[in-house]
Amino acid sequence: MKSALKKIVSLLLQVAIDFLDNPVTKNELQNFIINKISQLSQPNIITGLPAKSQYEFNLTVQNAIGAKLLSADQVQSQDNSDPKLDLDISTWMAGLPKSGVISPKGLIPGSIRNLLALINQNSSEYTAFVSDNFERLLRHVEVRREASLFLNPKADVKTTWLEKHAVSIAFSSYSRKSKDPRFINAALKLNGWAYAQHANMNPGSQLIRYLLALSEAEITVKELFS
Amino acid sequence: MRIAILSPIHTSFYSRLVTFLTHKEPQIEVVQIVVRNIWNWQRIKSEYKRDGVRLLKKVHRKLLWGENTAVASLENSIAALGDSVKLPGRSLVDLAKQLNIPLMTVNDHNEQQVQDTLATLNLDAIVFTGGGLVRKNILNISKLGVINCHAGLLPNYRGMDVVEWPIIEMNSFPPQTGMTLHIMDKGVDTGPILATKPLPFRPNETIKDFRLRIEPEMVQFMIEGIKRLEANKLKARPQVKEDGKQYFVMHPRIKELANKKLNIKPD
Repeated sequence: MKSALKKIVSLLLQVAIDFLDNPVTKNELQNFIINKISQLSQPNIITGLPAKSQYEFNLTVQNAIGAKLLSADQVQSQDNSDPKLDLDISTWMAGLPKSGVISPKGLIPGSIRNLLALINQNSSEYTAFVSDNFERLLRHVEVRREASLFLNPKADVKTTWLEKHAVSIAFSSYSRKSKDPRFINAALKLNGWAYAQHANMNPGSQLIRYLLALSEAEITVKELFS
Repeated sequence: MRIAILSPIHTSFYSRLVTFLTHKEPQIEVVQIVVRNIWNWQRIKSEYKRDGVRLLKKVHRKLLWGENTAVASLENSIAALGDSVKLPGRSLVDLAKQLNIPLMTVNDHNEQQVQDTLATLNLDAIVFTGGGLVRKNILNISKLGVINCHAGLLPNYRGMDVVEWPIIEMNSFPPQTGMTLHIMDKGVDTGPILATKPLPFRPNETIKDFRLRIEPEMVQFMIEGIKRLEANKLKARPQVKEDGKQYFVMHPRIKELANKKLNIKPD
């Protein structure tokens, strides 16, 4: 009887595992990128969106070509310039709490674009600051998992997702820069957790930023592991 | 030397072997076993939150079928070690009865009753064989502290999946794998190091087979470490935070790359 009960429990557990252990696959995500690029490349879809979204879409296309998900002749190439914001890094850094960009209260909105700007600046002056904040972000995401990256002060759902995708993009970028694979590991997790929310989403800034996050991860995997 | 054992679950092969083999040593006395109750909603909730589906797989493998089923035939496995030393009983409860060691079952190792009990025992050390975070109230009870065997080489590889991460980061075969005996502190694998032992991958060895092989090695390393501690032959070396990094559960795609990398070995 004990053995029969064990078999029944084992079967139920296996059903639960098969149901829950269903992470989105690499092929699903890559096909998603390709299909969405194709959809968004239709006339008048991207041109109606804000300049930042158009920039991010063009970057996604470049990444997709770089990661060999698409060939250059499959899409129309666009001139791409980042509509940069005027950032005063020193003032921003001075205004951060001791805990940096992430604390138990949440992620400070807008901080990721500044961290990304610091990575791109390539200045040794900020190396320790960047490293410390990325390490904190990594630990936060890895410990809190799907519940990570809530904002402080609290924001609407769309803004929160935009920031989450910005973190994923930053992780990919920092992974390439520092050659530290832990960050692309976390970016892949963030992207996987976000898939269900975005699989059937209509074109807009949130979907485009998610596509950029996916394509940044692809280009990072290719660069670090081939 | 008086020690207590902290265990995650009464069927843990690792806990049972460490308890049994330590108790056999003439100069060492196991005076208490503290094992966590698995049928506790808080524990199940917090471990599922931390591990996700991995927890269900662990339960399926370890609780329902024990380590025996899949690996009994493997000569280097922990089950084979158990056979060779004639490990008695089927659980820590059986073992505690047979060896006349007091055993308490608790929801969490950090509970007040654990602290109160251990504080009365005049312990030289507490041996950790799994079961989650250990907090300051328990860390500070015994003279030497809480001893853990980490399945990776410290200070470089702290945290999780420290068999797989060295493969991803290796420049040449074999990757930097092995085990570390250390005293636990409030950080993740950041406590003072007592001893390290490299354990290289064998040619054509898979990650799964390596993990099976390292388990009995960790048992032996722990026993050896406790004996040397008793004989005052081990000195703790503090870790510097900047000397290592914390690693986390590996994404399946990175794990796939680790497996691929393992297959590409120099002649």
